[in-house]
Amino acid sequence: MNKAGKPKKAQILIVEDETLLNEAYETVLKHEGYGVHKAFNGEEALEILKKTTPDLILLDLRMPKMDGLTFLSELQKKDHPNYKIIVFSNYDVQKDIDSSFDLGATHYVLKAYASPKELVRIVRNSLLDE
Amino acid sequence: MNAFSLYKRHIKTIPGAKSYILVAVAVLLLGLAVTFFSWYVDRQRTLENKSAQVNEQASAIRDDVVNRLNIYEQILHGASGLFDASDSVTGEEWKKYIQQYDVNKTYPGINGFGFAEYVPAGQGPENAPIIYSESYLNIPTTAIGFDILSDPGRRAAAEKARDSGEVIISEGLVLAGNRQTFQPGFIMYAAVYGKDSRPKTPEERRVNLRGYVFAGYRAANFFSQAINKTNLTAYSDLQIFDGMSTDKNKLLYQTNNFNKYDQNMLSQPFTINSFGRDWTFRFAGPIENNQADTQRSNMILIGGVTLSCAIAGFLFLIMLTRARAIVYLKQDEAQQAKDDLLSLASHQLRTPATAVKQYLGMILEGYTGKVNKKQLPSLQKAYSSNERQLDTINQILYVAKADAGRLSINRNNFDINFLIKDIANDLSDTFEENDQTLKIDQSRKKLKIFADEASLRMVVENLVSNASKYSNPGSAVTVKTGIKNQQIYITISDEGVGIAEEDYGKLFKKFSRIDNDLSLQVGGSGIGLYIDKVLIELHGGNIEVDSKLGHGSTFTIYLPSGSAINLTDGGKKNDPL
Repeated sequence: MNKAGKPKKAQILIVEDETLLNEAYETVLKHEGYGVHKAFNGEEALEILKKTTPDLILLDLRMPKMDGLTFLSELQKKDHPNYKIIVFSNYDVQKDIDSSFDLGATHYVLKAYASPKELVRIVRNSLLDE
Repeated sequence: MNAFSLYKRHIKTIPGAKSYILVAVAVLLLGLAVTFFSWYVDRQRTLENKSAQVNEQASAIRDDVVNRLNIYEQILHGASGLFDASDSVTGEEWKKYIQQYDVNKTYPGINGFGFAEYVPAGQGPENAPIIYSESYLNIPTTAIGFDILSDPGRRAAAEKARDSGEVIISEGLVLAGNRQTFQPGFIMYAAVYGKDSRPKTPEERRVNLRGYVFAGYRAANFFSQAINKTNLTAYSDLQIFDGMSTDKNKLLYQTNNFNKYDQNMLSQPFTINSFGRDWTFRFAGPIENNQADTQRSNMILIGGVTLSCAIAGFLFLIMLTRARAIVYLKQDEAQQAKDDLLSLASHQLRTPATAVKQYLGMILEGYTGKVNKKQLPSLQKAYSSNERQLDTINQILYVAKADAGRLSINRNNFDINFLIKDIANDLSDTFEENDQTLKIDQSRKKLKIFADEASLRMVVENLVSNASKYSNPGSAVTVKTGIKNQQIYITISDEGVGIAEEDYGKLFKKFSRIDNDLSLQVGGSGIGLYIDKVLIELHGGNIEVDSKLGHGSTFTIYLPSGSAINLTDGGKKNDPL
């Protein structure tokens, strides 16, 4: 909520099954002043989306219970606003890339190439894009 | 290495090849066996046909000869009947009887007829002089008075006729011919008994013997007249022997052409027995085997052998091909399994390495508080070592893909000059940190090419970040593009440590690493020079290096002329993602 003079904090939903990575991203993004919600698979993410509307979703693809692509197609079905979605994966498989974009992702990034600083840069640029 | 050892090696690579050879050989032998069997059966049939023909002709001859002899026998019977009817027969009566038949005209082939009266032993030994003679061939009538019992051949035949009461033909005799020539012949005897005697046993016959009527033949004359040549379709040349063998001393008759034949063209002899006499016949010819038979025989042989070889060879080829296909399939499957494992392992390795990158990065980038000077170098080394690990994993994945032939390019139209500017932008931080300059030298504003944009990006990024990595602070890296000799070139030159010439060969090998003072990595998506080369080669191009140790390096990417698009065409800028 808007407090007088302070800009609203952007909310980011991290969907990642690897605890280490999930928490690393959380630490960095919180440090940068973003609000962070965490989910460890697609199901949990959908639950969170029932309660809040994040400005950006960082989405891993290979997850148990509900993987990233299934999550994306679920989003397409329900009456969800068009979220800004950055797919964060370690698999540079062309099929995954194509499907992600087809299902509404705006970026596809290889986790292994993004240092914390680069992650922040990507998030910041995405939020600024309209 | 000769053809045989090459063949052996080839065969060894395919399991079961030896058993295929065995099967093929077995099929071949079977085929050859069938061929030879067919050829043999055909040959036998041909021979049987020949011998059937011989038998046919033999029957024809037998019929001709026997029929003719029967006619003369009838005449002899009639003649003895003449004597049966009267006590004495005059010369005139004899002549009249014989002449009524006009044998020379109706049934030529006979010398003549005669009658010899039997004189029992009395003052002298028994004898049987010829008293009547009717000859057709101008034989001198000195035959009259000749004692037929004086000649053993005649005697034997006559006495046999006497004892049996039947007409008997003598053995081959030498007869007086006209003009004093002597020729082989034979005589047919019929015994004449006392009037009304009708003896039934040999003893009675001997007692009642009156004389002999006979017919004489010159063999040549008789046989040539008796045998109807038109019945002989295949074999018209023959020999006739007296007796049961083909003794040349007993040759009675031979056709004119007989001497032209080889021994192997003579048929099996066959014997005819008539009137107590054996005559042996033998055919000659034909000169050649029936052409149709020979052709067919040859065709069976050649065709059969060829077909057997073809079938065996074809079978062998099929088996080998199938075996080879199975081998390849298995190899493919094994390769696939290996690739999948490699892929899986690599992706699994990425995860923890990524976590290390995040946490070390967080420390180094200040997210966890200040890092003191003593700690910093260790952290940096750890971080760059992990970067190297990530690069290696990346290379493994690409190399595995390339090895499996699954690395491919998708071309699109884009401006390479723009791409390079974009890359420069991405790497600007890196260059700034290292106090290095990145210069871009582009002869054209736009250079549109038709290539795989993502691959080109990776390759150029790799080469540029390598250039930065292996150069000292304060140096410059220059990227130049243009067209030369109908090729598009992109050169990346640096003023760095350079590469020794002897290391050129190692540069583009898989997972190559030439260690030098500056092997410190600072980020970058290292896919390795090997993959760079593979990707460019997939475009039909090439990467070349020119360098001297201590004097910097220049890497040049060449893309073939087909990659360039009409340069006057401005073209649209492609959406990067």
